[in-house]
Amino acid sequence: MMARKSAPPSKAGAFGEDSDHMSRDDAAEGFGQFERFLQEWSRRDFLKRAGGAAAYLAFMAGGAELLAAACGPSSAPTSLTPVKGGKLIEGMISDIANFAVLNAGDTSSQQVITLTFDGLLGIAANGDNIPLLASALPTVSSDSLTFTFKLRPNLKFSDGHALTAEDVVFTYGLMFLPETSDFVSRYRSDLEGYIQSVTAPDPQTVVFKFSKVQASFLDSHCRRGILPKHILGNVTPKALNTHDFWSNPTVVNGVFKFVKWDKGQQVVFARNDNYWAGPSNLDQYIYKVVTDAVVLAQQLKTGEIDVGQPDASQFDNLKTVTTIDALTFARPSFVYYLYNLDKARTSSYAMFSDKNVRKALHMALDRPTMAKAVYFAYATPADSVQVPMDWAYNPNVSPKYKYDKAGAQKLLDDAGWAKGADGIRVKNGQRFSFEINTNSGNKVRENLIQVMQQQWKEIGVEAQPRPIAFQTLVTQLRTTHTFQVILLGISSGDTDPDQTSLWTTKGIGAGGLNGMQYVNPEVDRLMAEALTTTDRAKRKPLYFKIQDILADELPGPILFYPSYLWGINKRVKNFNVGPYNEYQGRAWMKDVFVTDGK
Amino acid sequence: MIDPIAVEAPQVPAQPVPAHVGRSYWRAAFSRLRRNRIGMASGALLLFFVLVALTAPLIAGFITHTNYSSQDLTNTFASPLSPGHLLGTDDLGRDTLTRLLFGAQVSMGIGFLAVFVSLAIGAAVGLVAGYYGGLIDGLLMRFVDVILAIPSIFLFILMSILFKPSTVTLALIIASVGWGSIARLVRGEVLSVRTRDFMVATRALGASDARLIIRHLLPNVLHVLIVFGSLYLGSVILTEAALDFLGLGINPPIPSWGNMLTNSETFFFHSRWLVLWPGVTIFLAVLAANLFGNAVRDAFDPRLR
Amino acid sequence: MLKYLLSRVVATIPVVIGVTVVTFVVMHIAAGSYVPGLDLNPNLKPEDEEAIKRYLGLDRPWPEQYLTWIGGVIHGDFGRSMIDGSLVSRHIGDRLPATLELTVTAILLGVLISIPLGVTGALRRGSKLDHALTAMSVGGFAIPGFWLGLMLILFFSVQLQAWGLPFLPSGGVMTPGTGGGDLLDRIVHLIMPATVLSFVYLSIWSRFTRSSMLEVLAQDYVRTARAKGMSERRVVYLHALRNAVIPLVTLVGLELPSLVAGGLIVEVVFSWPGIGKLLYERAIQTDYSTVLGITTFAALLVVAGNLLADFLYAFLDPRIRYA
Repeated sequence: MMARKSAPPSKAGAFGEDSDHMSRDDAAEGFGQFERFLQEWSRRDFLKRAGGAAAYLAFMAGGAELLAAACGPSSAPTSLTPVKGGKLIEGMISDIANFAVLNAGDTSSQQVITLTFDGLLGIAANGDNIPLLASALPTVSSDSLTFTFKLRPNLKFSDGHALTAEDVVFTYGLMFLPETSDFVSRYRSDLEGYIQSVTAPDPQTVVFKFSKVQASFLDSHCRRGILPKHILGNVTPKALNTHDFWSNPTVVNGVFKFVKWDKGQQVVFARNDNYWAGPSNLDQYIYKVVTDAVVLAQQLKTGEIDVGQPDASQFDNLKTVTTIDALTFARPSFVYYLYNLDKARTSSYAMFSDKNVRKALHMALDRPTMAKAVYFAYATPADSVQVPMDWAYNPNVSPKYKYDKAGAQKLLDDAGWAKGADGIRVKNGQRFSFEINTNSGNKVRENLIQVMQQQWKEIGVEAQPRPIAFQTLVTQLRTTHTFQVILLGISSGDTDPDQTSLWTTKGIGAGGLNGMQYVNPEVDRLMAEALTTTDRAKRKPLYFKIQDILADELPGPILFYPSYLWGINKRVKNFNVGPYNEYQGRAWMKDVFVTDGK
Repeated sequence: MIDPIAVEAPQVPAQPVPAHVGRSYWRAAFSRLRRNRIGMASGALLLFFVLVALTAPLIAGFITHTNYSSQDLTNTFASPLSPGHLLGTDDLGRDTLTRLLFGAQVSMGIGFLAVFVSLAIGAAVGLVAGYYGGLIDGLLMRFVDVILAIPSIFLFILMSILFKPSTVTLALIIASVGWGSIARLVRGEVLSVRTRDFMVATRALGASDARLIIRHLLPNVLHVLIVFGSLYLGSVILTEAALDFLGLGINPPIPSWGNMLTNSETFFFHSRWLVLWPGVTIFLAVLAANLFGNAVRDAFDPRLR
Repeated sequence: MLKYLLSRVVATIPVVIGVTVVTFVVMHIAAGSYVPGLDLNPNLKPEDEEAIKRYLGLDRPWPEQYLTWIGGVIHGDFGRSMIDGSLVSRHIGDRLPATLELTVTAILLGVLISIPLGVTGALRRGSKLDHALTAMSVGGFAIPGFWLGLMLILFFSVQLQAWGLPFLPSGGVMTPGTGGGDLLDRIVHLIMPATVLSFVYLSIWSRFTRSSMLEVLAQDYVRTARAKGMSERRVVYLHALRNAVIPLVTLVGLELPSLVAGGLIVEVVFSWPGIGKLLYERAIQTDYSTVLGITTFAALLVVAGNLLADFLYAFLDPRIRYA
């Protein structure tokens, strides 16, 4: 029995041709969204983007207005006349999953969706809402229950068909109407029960009526791509779930049209001549899947790709390359670790319930050095649960913590944790020993927990690093709560500072992110109150107070704000990417051009 | 790379054995082995790795003065021959030499354990199947067919994501795939041996099944196990290193030669040495195991030269 | 012969069933605690979880799920991904050509290089060259494939580029945007991964060819040919080589089942978009159903391949053919 022949099946027709769609529930905007890297890493995805916070903070303090004009710290607004033609190749570590406009779960897919489908509004680099299909920001009734949008005149889809309010009504209908509930959309749970109706009194006007105030509506839900009713209107909601459109969008309304998708390798887009703001300068945009961060950096150097986000470990090397602009700026995201504060779990409760113990553990971490070693200095030590570029960020949050080993030791001594024979602290017969989990495959996180283990060892605390699969981590955090400490990252899709899911009792349980089971009635009250109005001036002091409380209590101490790192070939102009429009909105790509037109 | 197990397994054909594997057979084999200089040298190298694995903590304590997890964030990517770090440091400032020493524990430990367990299970299954024949044989061999049909690397990956791999679990995972070939081999041997006169005679004398299997069949297939085992060790070390490299085996901070290579590519510009040392060590260990395995095979059947 | 063929088919059926049962059982042990979609939407409500589970058919009793599974497999449906519901069979179809491109090239390379190496070693037996070649094979087999790949990438891709010299691409099948039509581009991408993959084949096959050649050269008919006055060249290349290569072909045939799975590590190191890499990526994401679907597919291929080989031998071996 020697020769073995394997007979590969023929490609065409051996398997059913079916479309790939299924709803992928995705975190809604706001702080419910996990870092993108957590979903899509291949084994070799490494350090997160990091950037020079100093540069960013400088113009951050300046205010949103400046940013709105400059649109991100990329190549300064150029005085060159745009050159028409040519293509732009962007390198990305992971492939897109689909074009599920109302369901995209990962940031890569969202990026290409915002490239091909505009919504009523879009997002500027600094997080501000900008009108896209709508001609201006909506008029809001005084009770915040009615939003009226006026569409721009003569909007068209890529096939020339007119885009009217009917398409808007159709699109949003899929997300909240009871008769469309067979269509699975991850945003349904956010909109159902809030939106009462979406109507089109005339082809250029859309009216949203709410039954109760949803403070985040404008920031979070007005950017949904508007779908072509003339293509999808006749499909039953159930059949829409598996429709081919979500992997092959034949008709779009965005800057680029979809051309083809070579799975695992590239997605090709071509200029949409029917785009409302006029045709883009570029002929083609190619989203190229790159194997890992090292290769990405390499390909930036050779010019095989024009733009991309290289790894921090390659960044210093990249800065020496003359053909590339190496840019860093802060991201609206933070990395933090959280404790299991559930009273029912006696061993972790015994260790972590004391606020001073949590302070001691945080003080024992030399975060500046950690940022240098693990992030290659492309991250800033953080003090607040809000990200610096958010309008609700409190720069004077108090208390702030410095690296103070001696202070940490004293706090632990005072709390009754005495050093045992093996150097690990003991109290009432229990050793101060726990497991710290993070998602495997993310090199930065894995390194972080090893460094934290080492630094805590020096004050007599024993931490066991446990990298585990992301899915398991999320289950632990949200459902089973079988963890002691978790290291995680949170990314913000927009500028709404609401963090109900993270820090309030509403966030405890399967729907939320408060896996710590942290209960603070004051925080609950403040967070809820901040959602009852859309007036930023009223909301801001509430969020300031929340930041102070959380900095004092440290249920989930914030470690770093990592930065974005970008490599942009000098031939690319107007690549105005910023903190809030990397994947959240790509309509700005209309103005990108390449100086050689190739 | 191709499936290391599938590669090595068929290389051990059934050898002609004397009617009864007696002392003179073993003595002849051992003396042949002793005379094989390359074999003895590689055996010595293998023994060296085993000793290193056993004494790693001692060496770390007395010679290098660091643990495999001692970090020095201010001295990352040190080059070889820096003070206190003979082979340099890694991205968290940990001493490479110390990590290699402890990595030996992982590789040698898992290697030997996996081989041993594979041999044990494979032998048991093969003996039972070959001795009883009939339905039992049919069922067992079908099961072996199923296991062997599934590509082993896929099976490893699958099991690694199911069971959180510790050193022992990983060894068991690797063993759970390898026993199949051994079972087939042993069964083949048993089939050829059980019809011999001494077997018939012993049974006629009223010996029980168990006694026949353990006291009479087993010694006669032992040489097959030894040869296969020594050839298999190298493959196991490679497989284990590959799984660690992919992040599916032993994870940091516990160092293994495989996982020390996982991120060496990213840090290439920071330290070119990180890619070199673990790979060289794996190569030497596997080479030693393979050469020794060849020597053992030659010793037991010089005809295969 | 018909009886033999029938008996082979019958013997294969339990193996097929066994494979599907094993993979099915493993999946359900694994998927017990899995909540699909959870990693992507932390805000997932319990009702939505139920909806997704219903959609994937995960809420029905095991026996029913197994029957659905088996039924699907018979029709070429290897299940749906737990992460995004995409069809596993479609993924396989997309990726299989890339894997085959790699493994077939590697095998061809292996054969083309092992034969001259083995023959040279046999002809110059005992010489320094022979010893060197043997040492290389033994060494080659001990080199970890992923490490070799890594080193090649670091030198031929990264280092050469850093020095400003022409360099090889470090991954992928082709330069994106070219549509895969440029043969030279594809070859350039193929060189390193195929070399690494063929390395292990080389080590074994060259030694095997060598010993096979030696055996053949010692045969009586070779001696006869020489005695008849045939030139050494004709003896070696016309007669001996042909007969020495036949066992090698058999050995190569043994590797064919590994056409699908064997390239996994090389695919991962070189980011080759093949089936092995897909399985690895999905495993990392704990997408159990895709992993199981691919594994089942590969295992069934192996079984089918073995059966085919049995048929082939039935045809070729006169003892069976005329039975």
